[in-house]
Formats: sequence, C-alpha cells, structure tokens
Amino acid sequence: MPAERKPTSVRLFVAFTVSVAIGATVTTWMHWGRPKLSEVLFFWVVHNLAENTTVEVPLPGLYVARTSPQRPLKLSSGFIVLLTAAFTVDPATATFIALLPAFPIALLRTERDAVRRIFNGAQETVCMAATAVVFTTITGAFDGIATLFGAALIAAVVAEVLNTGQVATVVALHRQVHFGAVARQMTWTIPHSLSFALAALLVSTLYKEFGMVAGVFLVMPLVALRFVRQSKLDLDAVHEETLKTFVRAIDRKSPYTRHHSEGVAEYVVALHRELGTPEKELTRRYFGALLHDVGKVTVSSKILTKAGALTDEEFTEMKSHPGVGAEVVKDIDHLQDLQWEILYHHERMDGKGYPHGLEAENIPYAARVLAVADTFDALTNDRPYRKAMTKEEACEELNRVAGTQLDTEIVDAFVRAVERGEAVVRFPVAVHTNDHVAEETFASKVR
Amino acid sequence: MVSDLAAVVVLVGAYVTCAVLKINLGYGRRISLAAVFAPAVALFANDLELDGRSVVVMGSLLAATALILAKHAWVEVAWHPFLMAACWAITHGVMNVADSISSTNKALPFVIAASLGTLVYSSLEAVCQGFAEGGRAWLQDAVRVWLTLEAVLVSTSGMTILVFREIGWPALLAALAVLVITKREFDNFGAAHDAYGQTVRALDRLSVGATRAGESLKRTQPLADAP
Repeated sequence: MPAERKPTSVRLFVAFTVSVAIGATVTTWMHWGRPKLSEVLFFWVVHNLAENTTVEVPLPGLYVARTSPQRPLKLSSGFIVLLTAAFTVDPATATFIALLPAFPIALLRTERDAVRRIFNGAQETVCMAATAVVFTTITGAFDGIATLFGAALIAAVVAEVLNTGQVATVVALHRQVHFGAVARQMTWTIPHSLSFALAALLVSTLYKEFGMVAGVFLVMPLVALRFVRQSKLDLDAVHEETLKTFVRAIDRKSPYTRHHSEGVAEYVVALHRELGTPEKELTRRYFGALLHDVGKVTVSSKILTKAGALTDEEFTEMKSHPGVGAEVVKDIDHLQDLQWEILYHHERMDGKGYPHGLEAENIPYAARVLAVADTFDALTNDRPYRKAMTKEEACEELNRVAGTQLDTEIVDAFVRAVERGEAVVRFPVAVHTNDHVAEETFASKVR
Repeated sequence: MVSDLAAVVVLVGAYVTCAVLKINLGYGRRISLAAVFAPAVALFANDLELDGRSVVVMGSLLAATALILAKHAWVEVAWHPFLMAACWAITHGVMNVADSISSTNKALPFVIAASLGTLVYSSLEAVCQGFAEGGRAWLQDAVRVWLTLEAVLVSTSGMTILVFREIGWPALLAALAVLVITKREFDNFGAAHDAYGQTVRALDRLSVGATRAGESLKRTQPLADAP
C-alpha cells in the first residue's frame, strides 16, 4: 500500500523534531563523551525484546477498528527499558540507545510510513536525552535515596510531557484538531509512567550492582505481563464477537432486520460524537445500541416478519422485547448500566411510547439518542410494509416526528451529522481517540 | 547492608499489605501478592540478632490480623502462618547451604533463596486456595495464568531482595510499583474473563427461555444416549 503523503505542517514538525534529536545527540556526546558500546548493545537488545512484545489494542472497544481503516493502537514495553537506561548510564549513552534502533531501521525498511518511524525514533531520542540529563543533573547535585526517587519521578514527568507534547502536536497537525483536545486524552498514561519510573529505578540499581544479569529481572515480568495483556485483549475480542453473533442471530429472525443492531450501534457512536459525549463513554453506548433488540429473541418470527398491522395480542408480545432485553443485561455486571437505554428505547417524547409511557426528560438521555438512531436505521431499510427511504427522506421524517416522538435537539444533531456525511455510510466515523489517531499517524509509544 | 529492626518492620508491613491485596486470575480464582515479601521477611529476620523465628511468627500474626479485619475467610487466615513457616524453612535452608560453601558473596544465595521462597509460598497458597474453593478444578482452570503470575512474582522477589540490601526500604516503593502494574494487568484480565463468563451464561439463559420448557433437554437427550 503506498504511503499517505503527510501535510506540509506535519513534515515540518517532523523535520524540527529530527533536528532537535540530532542536536541532543551531538550535545550530550560532546558533554559526556563517547557512548559506551557494551551498554548501548545491552539496552538495544533488551529494548528490541520489549518492543517485540507489542500488543495491539483497538481502543475504545473493537468498533473503532471496524469503523475506521486505521490500524489499532500498539502498546509496547520499550518505554520502561529506555527509562531504565536513562537512570543507569550517562546521557550520551542513553540518547544513543534511543537513537540507534530508530534511524537505521527506518531508513533500511522500504515499507510504507518511514516518516512515522523516523518521527518515533526522533521523539524518543529527544525524550531520553532530556530524561537522562535531568536525572543525572539532579543526582549529581544532591545525595541520598530521597534524591534518587525524586529525580526518577521528575525525569519520568519530563519524559511524559515531552512524549505527550510531541505526539499530540503531530496528531493535532495531521488531523487538524486542537492540540489540547488531543493532549487531554493522553493524560491516562501519566500514572503508568510514574509507576514505570519506580520499576525502572529498581532495575537500574540492580544493573549498577550486578551488571547485565539485571536484564533477566527486567525481561521476565515484561514478557509475563505482555502475555496477560494479550490474553485480556483476545478475551475482549471473543466477547464482542460472541455478542455480535448472538445479536446477528436475532436480527436474522426477520430478513428485514439483518445487521440492524450493528448499524444502529454505528449511528449511535456517530451521534454521540456529534453531541459531544466523552470518548470514554462511547464503548458503553456502542454496546447498549448493539444489544438494544436482544429481547426480540422471545418474540415470534411471525410477528417480526408480518406485513400487515399487528393484532393487540401480537403488539403486546412485541412490546415485551425492551423489558426482556433489559432483564438480560441486568444479569451481567459490566453491562448492567445499559439496561435503562435498552428498556426505554421505544419511549416517546409525548409519553405515548412503551413500556412505561415516560415523557420527555424522564426518558434517559442515552435511550433518546438510541431511539433516533434506531428510527433512522429502520427508515433507511426495507420493511415488510414499505420500501427503504433515502437518507434525505429519512431526515425529513425524523424532523417531522421531532418533539412528539423523538428529542428535537438530538434529531437536529443527527441531521447535521448526516448532512456532513458522517452518519450515512456504515463506516462513517472520524475516530478522534488520540491513541488510535496517534498510531495511525505516527506514534507507537503510548504506553 | 540493611539489617536492622526497622527494615524488618517495613518488610513485614509490605508483606501484610500484600497478603490482603488479591489478584483476580479469572474464574473467580484469587491469589495474594504476599509471596513477594514473605522470603524477604524471613531472610532479614535471619540476619537480625534477635530471634528470626519470632519475627516470622510476628509477621504471620500481623498478616492474619489484617486478613481478619479485611473480612477474609477464616481458613485463609489460618494458612498464612503455615505458609510463612514453610518459606522461612526454605530460605533458612538455602542460606545455611550457601554459608557452608562460601561466606563471602551472598548475593546469589539471596536471589536463589528469595526466588525459591516465593515459589514455595505462592504454590502452597494456590494449593490451599484450591482446597478451600474447589479442589483440583482451581488449578486446572487457572494454571496458565497462575504460572505467568509466578514469573512476575519470582523475578520481583529476587530483584527486591537484592536492591533492598543495597538501598534499603525505598526499594519497597519500587517493588510496590511493579506489583501495582502487575495487579492492574491481572485484574483487567480476570475482569474480562469473568465478564465473558457472565455474558455467555446470560445469553444461554435467554436462549433456553426462548424455547418451551424442557425442549432443549428433549432434543439433546437422544444425542447424549446415542452409542
């Protein structure tokens, strides 16, 4: 696949970062002398081992991977190795350790996105140079264990700030979004970095006393934790696939509702983004939408496929599905909070909906959002009693029932998203999750 | 070299804390992190001029008290002193053998003693937990994850004991950081595992509820009886 051409602003920023990295390498070399080859080799090997324990994390929730052609976030343990190096060797050697693997590999590889690799190497080099200089300066000026710990924590903060700053800048330039919005979403890595700093200090102390045998103590937990993390992600994937398979089976009870639940789930994510819902909540809303019709498992296929009007008895059976669905998720601890949107997604603003006839604001917000997405997907697909509408016709219909059946503000937001083309195809969503964007653009160093 | 009462008290504190902190291995199987610090307590208690065994007993009793306060099962409260005694015996044995061979460099014997102590403590705890919660099924269910946890605990224990000898109690902070990361990763895995199990059970109940009572049994019975 040919590499995507980066915008000029991105290329300029990459060039700037590379210049700083080269400057940092030269400066530390001049000040602290030539890097020590044996230490460079040792940490290079351990760093490569850690980098090869990368796991792919499709955040938040697997739907991101499906609603976007972008690659998932990669988590690696390389950062802890580099921190250990920064606390162990002189700044010149530490800087060279970060620099060494990045540029030759980036330049030798002919595959796509060499720019991304070069940027990663350069930004890591800048981070490590600053981290090692801060640590060495503080521990050189003051004595004592408290200084050692304080220096490690301060150095880790410096590394974190520089890493986040550089990655967020390049992502913001590439996606043309606000720097602050990207940076805020990366703050979850700060506690990790501080924990890693203490662990790195432990290994560093060990290295100074016992030499390269310390590598064993560093690699063993990293490999073990990587195994656990990968197992967890595999489980998450199986979990989501299980839910989807079950939901598909229910949707297929009627030829008219195939892929209905998955379609609604995608619209719900797009709509919540339009409404400004925090990214971290989107996974919950996605699952709520995916499972909103799970209660139809108990509704007869005859009713679901009936072309004419339902009898009272049939309608009563049909009206049971939100309650059954809510009962199902109520039994599952991590899905419990979804029960309300599932239970109330057929309520109407005028109180004429079911099952409880709630009105307006009494209907949970997530249920009102779900109702809009559910209605749009139903309108734009064939039903036994009518043909599918176009997106324009469906939007007109949404506007017509806004205020009586659906929430007007939510309908307005949805129509806006449709008009911008963000909610009309099955893979519509511009993913704003920084981690994902970061990976897609450049960075693979988000811990 | 750290070998004073204050150091042992700090180690006992870390041991007691970790006895209460439990990691979820999935399938509802839980195991404590106490194995990391138990050998350190035993090893440094041996170094003290006061009777090392009494320190071990003190640590065990403190752990038991903490477990009672944290409302853990009584049977669990009972096995920690037993595990601590086993750990002390192992570490004591290794150090005696090391002393008889050479009395100069103690770093390697320390690492071996700490690693073996952690392995023994953790294995026995898993066995005890297994007997308390479901016999052999405990290990059958969780053995792979438990072995992975062992790799982390053993290496952290060895690393901690070495660094503790050099820089003292602050090494515990670093060790606790490793354990916090470990606990987080394993708990995430355990939570994902339990969530998946719950989902499957809930969907199973739903699909059974969608058919007439006894229908699935009627359909599967002939298959089960088939030659």
